[in-house]
Amino acid sequence: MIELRLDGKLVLAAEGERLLDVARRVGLRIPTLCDHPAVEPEGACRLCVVEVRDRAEGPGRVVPSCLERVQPGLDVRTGSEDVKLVRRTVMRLLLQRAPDSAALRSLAEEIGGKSSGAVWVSEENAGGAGCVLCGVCTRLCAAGGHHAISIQGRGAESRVSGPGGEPPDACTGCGVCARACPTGHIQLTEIAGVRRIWGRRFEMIRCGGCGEATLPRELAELESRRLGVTLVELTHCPTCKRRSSAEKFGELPARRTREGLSESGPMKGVAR
Amino acid sequence: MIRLHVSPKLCSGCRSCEMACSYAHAEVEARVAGGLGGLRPGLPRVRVAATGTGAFVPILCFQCDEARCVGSCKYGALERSPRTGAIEVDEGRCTLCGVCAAACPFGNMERELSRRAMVKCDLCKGEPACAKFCPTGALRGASVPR
Repeated sequence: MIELRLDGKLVLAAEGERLLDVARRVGLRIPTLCDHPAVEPEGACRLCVVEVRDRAEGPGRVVPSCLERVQPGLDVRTGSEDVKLVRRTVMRLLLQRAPDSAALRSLAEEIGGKSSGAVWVSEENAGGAGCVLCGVCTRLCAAGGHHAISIQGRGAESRVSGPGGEPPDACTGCGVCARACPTGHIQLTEIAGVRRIWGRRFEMIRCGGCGEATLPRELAELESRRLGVTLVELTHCPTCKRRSSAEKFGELPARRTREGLSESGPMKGVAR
Repeated sequence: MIRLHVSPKLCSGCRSCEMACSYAHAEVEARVAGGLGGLRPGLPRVRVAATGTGAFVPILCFQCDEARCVGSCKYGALERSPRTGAIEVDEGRCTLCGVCAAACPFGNMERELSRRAMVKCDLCKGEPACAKFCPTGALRGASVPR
C-alpha cells in the first residue's frame, strides 16, 4: 500500500493506482470527458487535472489525474486555485468546439467555464452536438477490434471519421462509439430495423422466432465467426431463447388440486 | 459460493420470484433508467416461461462455468464475483453493444428497455430474493463450498 495526501487527508492506495480512481474512491468529484474504464486513459480532455507536489518547496505541477499514478508521500490537491483556473480555461476551449452539447454545458456550469462567445466549429463538426476530439469513440472502436474510425487530419482540421474522411468500411454498426460519446456528437438512428451511423446503413437481423431486431448484420457476422456460434443462434432474441430453454428444462407440474399439489411438496401446506 | 436450485416440477407459475427480484433491484433500476426506474417485474434476471404443454419453468442465469457471455465481451465488463460465484456486469466498462445477450444460449441476459443497462441475475449479491419468496420451493438458494 502507498500512503499519500489528498486534499490534506492521508489516504491509502494500491500500487499503480491512478490519482483519478483514488480521488473518486474517497468520494471526491473529478470531472472527466475522455475517461472510460474499458480503455487505456489518454489525457485528452484535460478536465481531470489536479495539482501535485512531490517536493517540500516550489510550485506544484498541474497534471491530468487519469494519467498520474500514486507515489509515496505525494501531496495532491483537487480543488486548488490553479486547478480551477486550468479547468475553466480548458472548458472555455472545449465549448468553442462543442457549443451545443448539453452534457458539456451542464459540466461547464459545475466547474465555472464560460463560453467566450467565439465558436470554432469546422464544417465537418456541424450536424451534431460538437466533437471535442476526446478519442473515447476511437479507443473503444479499437478495443472492439474494428479500428473503423480514427482522428483524421491535422490541427484545426482534425476530426473523427473513417480513413480519408470517407464512411468507414470496417464499421459494423455496433453503436458503441455513439453511446459512449460524452458530448452526444455521434449520431445513431435506428428506424424500422435499419441503423444509420457514420454515413452508413446497417440492416438489423431479425429474430428467427418473433422478428425483433437484434444485431446489425455486419456485427452479427463478425461475432458469429469470432465466437463460433451460428448466425441463426446468435440472432435469436432472448425472449425466444428463454422459450426454447423452457421446452428443454420443463416438466409437466404435479397435478394441481384444491388441496395443493397432489404430490407431497411444500405447496400442500401453503394453498388451503 | 451461492447456487440456485431450480425444480421446474414444483413451479406453480405464480411469478413471485419476478416480483421479489424487481423489489430487490428497484434501486439499481431507479439509478440506470431514471424515470423508467422503480419496480420492473419481467426483466430477464428471472422469468417464468411456460412450455407448450402448460408447464412453468423459472428461467434464470446458470452462472455457467465456461460462460459464453464472459468470453464474448470485448471490453472486460463481465466478471465472476469470487464471493458469490455470480457473473456480474461492470456498468462502467459495459458499452451496451449487446453481444453478450446475443451470445447467451439461454436468453438469460438482455438489454433493458431504457437501453441503458445490460440486465442479468447477480444472485442478489449472495442472498437471492427469488428463492426467499418462492412459495413452492421451485427456487432454492444454497451456499456451496467453492
